[in-house]
Amino acid sequence: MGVVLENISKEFTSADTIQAVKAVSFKVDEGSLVALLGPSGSGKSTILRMIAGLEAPDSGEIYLNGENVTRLPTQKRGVGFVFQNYALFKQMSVFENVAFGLELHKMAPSKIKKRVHELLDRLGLQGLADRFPHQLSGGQMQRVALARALAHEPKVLLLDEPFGAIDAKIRAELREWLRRLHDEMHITSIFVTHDQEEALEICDKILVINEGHVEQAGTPEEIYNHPATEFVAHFIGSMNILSGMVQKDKVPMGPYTFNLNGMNGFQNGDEIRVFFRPQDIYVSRDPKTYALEGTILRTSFLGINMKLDIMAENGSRFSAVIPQYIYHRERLHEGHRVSFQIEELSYVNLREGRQIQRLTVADYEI
Amino acid sequence: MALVNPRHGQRPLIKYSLISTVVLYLAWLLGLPLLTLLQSIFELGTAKLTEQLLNYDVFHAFGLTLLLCFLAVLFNTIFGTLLALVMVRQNFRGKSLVNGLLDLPFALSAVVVGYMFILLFGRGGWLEGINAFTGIRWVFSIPGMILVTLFVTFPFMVRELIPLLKEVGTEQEEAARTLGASPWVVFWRITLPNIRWGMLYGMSLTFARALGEFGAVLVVGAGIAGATETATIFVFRAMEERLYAGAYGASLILIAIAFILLFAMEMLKKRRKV
Repeated sequence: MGVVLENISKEFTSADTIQAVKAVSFKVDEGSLVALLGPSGSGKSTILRMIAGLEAPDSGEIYLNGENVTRLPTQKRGVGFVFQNYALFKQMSVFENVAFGLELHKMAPSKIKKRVHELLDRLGLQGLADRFPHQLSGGQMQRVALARALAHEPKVLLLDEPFGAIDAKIRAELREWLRRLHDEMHITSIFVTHDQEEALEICDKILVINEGHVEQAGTPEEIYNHPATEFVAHFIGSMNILSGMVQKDKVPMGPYTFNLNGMNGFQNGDEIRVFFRPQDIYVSRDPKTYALEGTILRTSFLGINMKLDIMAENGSRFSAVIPQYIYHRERLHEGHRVSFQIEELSYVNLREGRQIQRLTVADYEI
Repeated sequence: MALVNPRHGQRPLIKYSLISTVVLYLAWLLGLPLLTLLQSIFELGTAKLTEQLLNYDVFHAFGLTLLLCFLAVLFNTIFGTLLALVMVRQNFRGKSLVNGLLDLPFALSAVVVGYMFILLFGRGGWLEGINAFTGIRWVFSIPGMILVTLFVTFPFMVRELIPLLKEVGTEQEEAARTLGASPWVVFWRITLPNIRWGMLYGMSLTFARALGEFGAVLVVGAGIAGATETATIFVFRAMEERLYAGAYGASLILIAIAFILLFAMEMLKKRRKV
């Protein structure tokens, strides 16, 4: 049950360049809230529109609650769709907008009235029933759009960058609020976003989409802590990414340099890319606390944290983020020499492929 | 408007000289001729006016003009809307060529249009056979006049609707479809209400153009009094025959219709902004 895509492919034009969705397959469990997260032009919106039937795939099958809907027109699919720019019916009042789908489903007027007011109450839109879209704020318009999309009890709720046109503060409120609504109504929901924070915060599962394929699918924790590919590592959160070439039996891993003996899978000439998160670095003024040494080039204030730009002895540069209190306790300043350690490090050997390998501190203790 | 907005800190001298330039220009171009016309009618007196206006030929001429206006509005509303939808929503080969052709009636002299139709339907023309086939004469007759009127008024509806449809976009229609609306319901309940003011505006422009048409209908219809003579052709003939009261009176009626129409149009434009 839920939503299933099997080998969905389509060529499409985005910003005047030809793009493609390439044999995408995934499953969204019934009642879950899933994000399609990716940069613009990655094909995530096109995938969503194909689920709604607003675009037709070139090949592949789409199932909603077990029914193959690939060749079913939009109006018969029973989906709810929320557009980035609200797409409210400008000539109709808030009430008429929400009632539109119910009228088409031949519901009795008295029942329509009850259902619409119930939804408006639930979405915090009491008293706005007689307003017209141009009399509402962006946040209100998007809530009306949500009420309208939910009115006919769709099998799946599809949201295309729903909060993209709303300013930051209201956006944070709305997404919390979408999560709460989802928990109350248990409706299978898929939403498209390019905002990772939004996806990480409210979704049960994230599908990272890049260049028309699924880079990685997983829970927010999995995606963040264990990125499967270089793209995901780069795209989600901030990440130190350093490159190096295996030379003279040495493997460069950012500030570390390992001897090749004992390390499997490396050859001279291999191109290595190393990833580690700024918050996975421990820093101390005492040169003996940690194994590696370096110099603080610059510090910047981030609020509860402090960012340090560090240069290691082998010349590699990276950023570390440490809590404010450690920064003060250790009396760290620009120009100071420090010792440091990287708690968790991953790498890609580009000769072998794009999948990321992980090293834990035990692997590289010197 | 922004140029003469006092809130923009503009100097009053510039503001008033701009306004008076516009007013003087309009007075000279529109006001003076109209005043002369009214004065002439007044001088000629009502007796001559009724004598030269209240007869079959004049009624027929105005009736024919209104018929042409009505048909132009009817056909160009239907086909203009259809064409605008196709031009905005569909992609096809030669779309830019069609787009260019849409403006042809704007650029061509009405007399030339008339001659084209005569060449087309007349003796030796490509469509000469149609006359026998349909049993209707398509030149020097009312059907031919209807055709040329449709031709010269064609761009107004399309040109009004194309930018409007682009601006409205397709999201509301897509939203309606996801809510269960068939394409037919989408058109009547979403598309049409969204463009209705623009349609009314296009209709009044079409009507106004058909009302004032002279050259094309004269060439194709030959302007036979009581048969293919329209109101504007009557004015022309009345002048030639020195029936000044009739000419001025008919002109005044045409001006009044046009004025009411254009005034209503301005009101519509204001409504559209809501």
